[in-house]
Amino acid sequence: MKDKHLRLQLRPLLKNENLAPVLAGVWFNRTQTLPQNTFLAFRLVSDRFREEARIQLIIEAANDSLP
Amino acid sequence: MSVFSQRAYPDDVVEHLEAHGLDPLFARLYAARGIQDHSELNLEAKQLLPPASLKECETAARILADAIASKRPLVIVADYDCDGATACAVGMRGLRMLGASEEQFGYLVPNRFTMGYGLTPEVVDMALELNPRPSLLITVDNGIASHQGIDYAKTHGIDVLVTDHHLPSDQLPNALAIVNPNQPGCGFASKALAGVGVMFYVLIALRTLLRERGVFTNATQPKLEQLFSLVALGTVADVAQLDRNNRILVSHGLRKIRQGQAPAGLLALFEVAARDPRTASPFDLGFAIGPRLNAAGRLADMSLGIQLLLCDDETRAMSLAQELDRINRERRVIESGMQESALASLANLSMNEQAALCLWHPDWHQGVVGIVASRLKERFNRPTIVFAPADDESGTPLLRGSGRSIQGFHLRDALDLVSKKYLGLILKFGGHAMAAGLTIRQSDFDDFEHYFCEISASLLDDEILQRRCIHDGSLGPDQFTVEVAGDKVFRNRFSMVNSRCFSNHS
Repeated sequence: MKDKHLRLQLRPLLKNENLAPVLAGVWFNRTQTLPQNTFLAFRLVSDRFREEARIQLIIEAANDSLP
Repeated sequence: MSVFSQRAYPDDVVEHLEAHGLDPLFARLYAARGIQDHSELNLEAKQLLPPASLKECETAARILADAIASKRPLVIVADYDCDGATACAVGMRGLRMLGASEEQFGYLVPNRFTMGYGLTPEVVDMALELNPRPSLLITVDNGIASHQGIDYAKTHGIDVLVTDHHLPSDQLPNALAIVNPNQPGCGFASKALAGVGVMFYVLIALRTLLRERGVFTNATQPKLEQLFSLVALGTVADVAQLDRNNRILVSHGLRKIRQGQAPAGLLALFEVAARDPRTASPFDLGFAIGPRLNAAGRLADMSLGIQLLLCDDETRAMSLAQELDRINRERRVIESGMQESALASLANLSMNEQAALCLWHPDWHQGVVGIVASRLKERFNRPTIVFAPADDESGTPLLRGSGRSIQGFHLRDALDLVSKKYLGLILKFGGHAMAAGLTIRQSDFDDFEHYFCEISASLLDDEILQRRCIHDGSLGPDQFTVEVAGDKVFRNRFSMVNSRCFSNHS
């Protein structure tokens, strides 16, 4: 995104993949891409786009070594 | 890479909150933020801490009530950031509502490039030239460090009323009254009150006093609640901690904005930022509205931003908002240029050997150093101070810097240590734990860098330098909802356990 922000499409990893929603995410002021499986910290925000409420994940931190 | 840890919460509080009908997720979030009883979730305005508990707030109210009654000319001295601009607008609008006449009062905002921060003697000189000449200055979001300016005003027969929230130094200035939740002996329970909140509290106390004096009754008193939107904006844009008192202020302000009950200028900023006021959130205030307003103080003159907040005419508000939006775009260009040159100069540094970062460049812009410091701090996780050349009246080239800190490192205290250990090195400084501003001589930069890094190294340890992310646990697949996202007051941070990132592109 203008070489400045990272746009992401994300899905929580669940045992049953069919239950996992596809989510839109953005990491501001970061361009370095992420590995496929990552532990992310995010804020959930909603906004209105063409009168439709939608949600987005604003990513703030990553950790690929899982606890 | 950050070390993740989940914010702890007491199980018994979660149970208590759930027993009072709260959704388990929200019960957990509130408990983790120190809420102990469900009654604390009541954010009615009458739950606000009483103004009487804010030291000298009632004294300030008496001074202002007398000033209004005797038509004493008064001037508000603002600051050039978002908190200062909203505090000024709240003061102007509030005093007008409470009976100050148009001819009697006005405002001044120091130009950061020529006058620097706070009530300096130069700003007092500006006030002296006003007509009518003020006999009372009210500082908003500044003043606690303006000893010199306040003494200078006094020699010209001008009294100063300080309203501020910054940390005081060892000695308080010699003002007529000081309202500041962070001054010694102030028992106000919310130390996180922003500058705009302090001014709002003075107005509430003033209204109470005027009621007691029979100027208004409960039924006829002006509705200061109309100012909540501005209080919310200043509080969020200043990144004040959202303790309960601030949550009450912010939630009421957001409610007003969502109902369209906000100054025309504030609504115009939502429009130029393509945000919808009907769903206003702290995020909008912090990331869309705040930066546009701040841009005026960074690149031009904050009086543009204050004019916008004082404007009730929609057409004029829109043209001012567009101007701010344009300045904000210019700010982004300057900022990315500075960031690039900063990163280039840091390319050869090994962060492991660097306790703190100090940078300057002759081409850098004074209004943008704070944002660049903030970005570098995010990136390198080190206390960071970025300087730019400043105008000098004395003929000595100066540098003005803005610093940002990391959790666990008190930046103002660190600067205080440097200034006491190396007398005369820092000409002026002030601020908080996480952010501070200072002025040094250009010729002293290398010394300052050396001593600041030395003191930082002695205060920092691996524990503090480890990048940390405190989160609120994970969300279930059915919890990615507008309701959870829409929690308007806490800016929750969740972690997504093992999320799969199946498409990413920049």
